[in-house]
Amino acid sequence: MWKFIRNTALFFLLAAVIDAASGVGFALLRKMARGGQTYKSEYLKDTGTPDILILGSSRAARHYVPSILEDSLGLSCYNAGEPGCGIIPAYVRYKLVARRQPPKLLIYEVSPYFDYQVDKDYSKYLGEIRQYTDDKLVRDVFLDFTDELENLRLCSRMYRNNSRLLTNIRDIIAPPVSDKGCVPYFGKMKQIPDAANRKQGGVKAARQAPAAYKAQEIDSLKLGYLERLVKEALQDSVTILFAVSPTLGMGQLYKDYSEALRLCEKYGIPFLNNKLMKDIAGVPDYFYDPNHLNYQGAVAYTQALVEQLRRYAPIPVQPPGPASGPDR
Amino acid sequence: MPFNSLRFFLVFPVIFGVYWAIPARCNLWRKLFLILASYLLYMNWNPAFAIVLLGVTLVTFWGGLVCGGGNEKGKRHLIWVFAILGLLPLLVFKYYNFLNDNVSAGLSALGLGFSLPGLNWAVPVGISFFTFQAVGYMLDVYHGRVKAERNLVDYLLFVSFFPQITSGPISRADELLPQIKRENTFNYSQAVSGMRYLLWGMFLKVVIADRAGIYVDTVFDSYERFSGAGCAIAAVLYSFQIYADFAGYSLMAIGVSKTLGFDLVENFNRPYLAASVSEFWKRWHISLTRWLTRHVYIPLGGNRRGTARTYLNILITFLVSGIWHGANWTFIVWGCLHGLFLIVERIFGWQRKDSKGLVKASRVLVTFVVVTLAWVVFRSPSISDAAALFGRFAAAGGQLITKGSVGHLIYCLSGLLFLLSYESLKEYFPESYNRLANRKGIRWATYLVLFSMILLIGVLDGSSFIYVGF
Repeated sequence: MWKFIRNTALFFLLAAVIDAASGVGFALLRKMARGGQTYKSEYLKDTGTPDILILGSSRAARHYVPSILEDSLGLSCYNAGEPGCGIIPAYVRYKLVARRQPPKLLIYEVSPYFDYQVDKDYSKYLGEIRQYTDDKLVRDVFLDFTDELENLRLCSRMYRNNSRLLTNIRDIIAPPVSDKGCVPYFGKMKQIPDAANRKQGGVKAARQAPAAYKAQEIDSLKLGYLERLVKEALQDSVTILFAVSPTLGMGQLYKDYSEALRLCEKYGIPFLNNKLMKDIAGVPDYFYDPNHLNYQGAVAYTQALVEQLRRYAPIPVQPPGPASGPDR
Repeated sequence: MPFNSLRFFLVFPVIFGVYWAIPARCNLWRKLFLILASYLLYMNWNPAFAIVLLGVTLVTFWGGLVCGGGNEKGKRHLIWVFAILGLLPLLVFKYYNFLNDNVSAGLSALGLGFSLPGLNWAVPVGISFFTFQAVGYMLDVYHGRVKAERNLVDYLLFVSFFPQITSGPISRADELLPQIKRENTFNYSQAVSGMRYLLWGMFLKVVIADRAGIYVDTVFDSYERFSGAGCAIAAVLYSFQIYADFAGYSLMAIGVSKTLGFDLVENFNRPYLAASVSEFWKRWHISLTRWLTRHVYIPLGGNRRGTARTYLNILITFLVSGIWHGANWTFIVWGCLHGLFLIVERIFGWQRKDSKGLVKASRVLVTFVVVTLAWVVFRSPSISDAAALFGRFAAAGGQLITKGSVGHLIYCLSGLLFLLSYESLKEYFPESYNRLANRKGIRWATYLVLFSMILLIGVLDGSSFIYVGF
């Protein structure tokens, strides 16, 4: 029996050494990132102090072109949107930036499913921030969305970096094309839904939409974090606004913005609903798929947004000129 | 509590420690402790399920006492009564709604609007497994293969033994009961072997099965978006997913049992290296196959009543196998398909042909393809979905894979590479395998690589095993 216990203990000891070494290795890989999600996370965690911060899911990451906002408003800008992620990583990213220097303007692209509707599980959001749970701020948010045993799991460095290896390597060798965090889609829609279907969001889009879109149950935990983001940004004297970028006639889907609107009314912040924005929402050439603009569409939308910001967002707009900030 | 959950890995060392801390001479206390642990772990799913487990245990225990030791006419009737009583919870929980829905649909097609209210109860976890194990014991007693068990404590542990209760392997009384009765002493080699099984099973489950499952679920849930090649990849991956999931569970169950001094039957023997469907069934879910052979195929007459009757018996046996898997036409069709494959093989004598080299490789490949096609029916929510998915195999349009799936596929393939290398080495080069396995450095390096892969690329969400649903 003692031999068995001794060998089992030896095995776990060796595993612990490998685990600790992997933690060092992963930290090194993250520092070596030249772009992509890894670089974005590292930049926001360690150095980023943009004047304009864009947050949200894929629609934020692909629709807002920071260089246009910088050139037009004379403020530095960074797109911290992340495909497939909503309020959980967004809140963390805001807090990481704000503890160094809060941005002047925070644009939050609202996605009901990611931000306050009930989801199957949180793992897709948590995978992104788990690697940074050394940081107490990140860890506290992370533990709010996990079970009581997660503290124990987080002892393992390999677990913290679970499923990150390929992303980390890709972001060193061949990071995706990015413009200050914006990762636009290139190319146009292969199949354009006919006019009748477009009103319904398109057959393809309807089939793709997760069932949870229709259920529209509210996830109080996610909604609570969205409200915390608004409150804490206002406390930090940040001008915050909610925005919805154009879609290709998604009138029937994703229409439940009531919770976002409620927060806007409660805290007196603007809600820029550009879902059916004139000259963009009805133009298939601007779309990569019914829910995402391509680069051409993103440029057109961001240019139109600049005018809205000048009108609705009381930010200290500066004359056009070069702005500082990373270009990845 | 699934084996792949952290909770289990916290609880198990306690069970292990307490069990071995009880002296061997106090075997009754050890057994009582294991019964208590088994019931508590089982009740962790849903406390009410324990009533069903206890009910099936008591009915079959009583049945064994009453029907043991002879085939007299009175006992022949009694064994039917007890078998039906033992199977009743399984029939009610698992098949009532299915039968009710289909009978109602049939009657309404005839213009007769009649239906009974449906049951909205959760099916007790592992009911198919422990019911078959308990009823199998009773039938063995009736046929005189084993003596009736008179010690209720031993029998309670036989039916409820926690490593196997939710997904098998389905043990036979002559295998497990003697082990329960003897005074176990700690065996180092057995315990180490158990840890190896545990590690390998965990690897199969979280690195291969759950990773493949992410892609498979995406495609099977919206196959109309995917091209023929995309659907084919999903079908192949599902074959590996269900194998890694079920074999992973079985290995972990065997591993946990070994560390407690019990040897359970091996449930899998490299099934995808079989050169015929007949051989596949000698390698896949071995404990169920032998249960069906012993309690369905042979009582029907087996192959002793002529060719036509043999074919009919095969078909009936696989029909039962299909029904055992679940109350859905897809399982029934899947069972019938396998029955037909076996009949075709018998007609042409393919199952007896021995082959080597390229011919054998082709036969292995063809068997894999045939089994994979049947898995498509098994995995689909309905027959019409299965038919539509088969239709997609020839489609040109649609996605091959989604952008988000690339990483999952690469992680899964790295696990599969490990699995295929290991199985090929063990199957075709056993001497080389033994040589490597005897080198301590290689063994330990392999354990550490597997452990690291589990943490680095495994899906660690404690998701349940597919067969737990059966």
